[in-house]
Amino acid sequence: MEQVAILNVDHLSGGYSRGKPVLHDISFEVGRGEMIGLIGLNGAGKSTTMKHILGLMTPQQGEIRIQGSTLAKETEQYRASLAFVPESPQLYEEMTVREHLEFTARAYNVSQADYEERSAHLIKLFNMGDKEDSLSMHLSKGMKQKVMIMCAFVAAPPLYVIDEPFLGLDPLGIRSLLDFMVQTKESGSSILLSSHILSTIENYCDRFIVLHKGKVIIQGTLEQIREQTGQQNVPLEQIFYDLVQDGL
Amino acid sequence: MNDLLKLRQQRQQAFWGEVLPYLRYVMQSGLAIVTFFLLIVFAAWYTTFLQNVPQGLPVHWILLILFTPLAIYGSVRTYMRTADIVFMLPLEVRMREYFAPAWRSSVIGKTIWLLILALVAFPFYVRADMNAKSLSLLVIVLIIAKLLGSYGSWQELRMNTAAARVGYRLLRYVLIIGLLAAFLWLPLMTALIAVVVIALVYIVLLRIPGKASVPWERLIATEKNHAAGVMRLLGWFVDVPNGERKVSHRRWLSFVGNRVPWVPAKSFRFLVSKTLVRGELLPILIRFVIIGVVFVLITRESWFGIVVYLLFILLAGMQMTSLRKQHTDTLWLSIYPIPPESQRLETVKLITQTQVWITLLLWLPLASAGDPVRMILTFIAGLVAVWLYRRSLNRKWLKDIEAEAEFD
Repeated sequence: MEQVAILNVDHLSGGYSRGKPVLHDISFEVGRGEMIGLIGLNGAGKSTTMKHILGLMTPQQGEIRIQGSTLAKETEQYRASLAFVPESPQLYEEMTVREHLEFTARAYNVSQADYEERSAHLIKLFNMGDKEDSLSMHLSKGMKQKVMIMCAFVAAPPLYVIDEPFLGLDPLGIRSLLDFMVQTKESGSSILLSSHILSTIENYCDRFIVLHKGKVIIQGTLEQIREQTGQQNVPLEQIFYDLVQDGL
Repeated sequence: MNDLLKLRQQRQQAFWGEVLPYLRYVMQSGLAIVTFFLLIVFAAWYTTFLQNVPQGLPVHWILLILFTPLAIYGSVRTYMRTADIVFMLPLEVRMREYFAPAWRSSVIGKTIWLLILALVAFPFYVRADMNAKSLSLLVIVLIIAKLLGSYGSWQELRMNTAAARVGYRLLRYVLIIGLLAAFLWLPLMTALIAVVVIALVYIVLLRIPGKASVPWERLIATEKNHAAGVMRLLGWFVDVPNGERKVSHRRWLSFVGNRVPWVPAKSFRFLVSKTLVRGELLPILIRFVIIGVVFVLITRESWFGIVVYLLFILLAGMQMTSLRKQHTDTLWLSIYPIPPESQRLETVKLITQTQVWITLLLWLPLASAGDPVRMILTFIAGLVAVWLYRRSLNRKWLKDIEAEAEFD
């Protein structure tokens, strides 16, 4: 598949204060129809990278483009091009599951017909049929996470930024999510996924970006990473362990 | 940590230490002047009113409506925190030391307000009712009602089942209203017997349901609501951090917001409509409108009635400004492709529309009295007040946006 970049992160440096950047000259791309695993230890800079992509933080240096547009110049186009699943579910207590999906669909200008079709499919897929009229405050943590995931998928933008999506999900939920991410990717959308469950994402992601202390220390397909590290037939988890151990 | 009394004091001081600095800004916002002015206007009106109390006023009903809310309302500030369920659980058997002063100060504080109200209302009572009971008896009965209300609401918190809590809350409302009504309507001796019987029956009935020794989760949730209530009140005048919010499903209002046009620019309206119908603001507004209607009804014969009418319209608007602050820090409004100005436009529009409805409801008691020209002009004045409030809200919001942009 020809890799047309949906997301371009170009020499990004940034952080919470100017004197102390958390990210140092990070560059990577996410191609159309690609699922990319962003991996690293706690504090490596994964969430900060995502916050920059989401526009919640302003880069100190470098540029981020989604389908060629930047947040500063084409704000609405940029925002409409991505959906986000946060690590901790953030829902409106006063809205039901269905209303969250509807609010997202309205915001992303999804037609009513598409919304009905997608929401029905997602509610069934994630086994939330008996909870669709429940207020979010009455849901378990795993169910809240499912709502976050469903909201992102009901929007159906070209790019998904997904931070630790498996936390709190039951095994069926994890399987449903993985299957749906594969379908989404095959339909041409792109996914930037952060997770610590390397044994799971090893089989699903096309490429991996390893962040360590705010820098990209290696990136590529699993085979390319194996070649670069000289570790053939070794699982991703072991390679990652060796990489960050060396760099600690 | 073992000194529970000291811990509560520290928490109380910490809370009010956070709130007090805002009070200066509240005073600067003109509240002190407006309150002072209203007190003078009220005193002038009340003095004139007392000199010539109209015949045939439903004095018992008026007093019952005045005393009931303060007699029934029995909240207790415990200053409990979420982490208490872990760290204070081992001290459960000693929690009485922590709660006793909280309960005491709550009852004393609220009783003082009730007695002030009684002292203000008493001159009206003795002039309007030939068979009025003495002030000392009125005070004693009000104190009994307040003690029962506070004790009952505390016991309700401890009850194990939701059905018992709801049932006993209704029972508290009915018995306290019944107690006050018995005192106001019945002859002296019968009234006193009724008060004692109602009090004893209520105390006995409160012993029946199963109760938790310390209802940790409910106490923490209730405390969050109280703290949020104080912040919401301050929020009418100054920018304060958002507190915890209480949400109720209200399925019968689920349709509100569903017919908002399906376009991104209007999507915020969908959200804020749900916030209005499911949050604490709606019951507050309903209570406020009921009180407003009663006040307008009482004062509608004089010019003071128009002042009360306009005041309630403006106060309703001020209450609804809390909608503006409900979604200031939400992640999704920073990420979703919603036009940035839609939050302001849609919130202001919703506040204005609701305020117009309130203007109409408050006008209904005026519509059935007085001359038609004055009646219509009063309604127009109400609409002008809504328009002026909308303009001021928009201006203030835009000014704040500019200030934030400059700061960034």
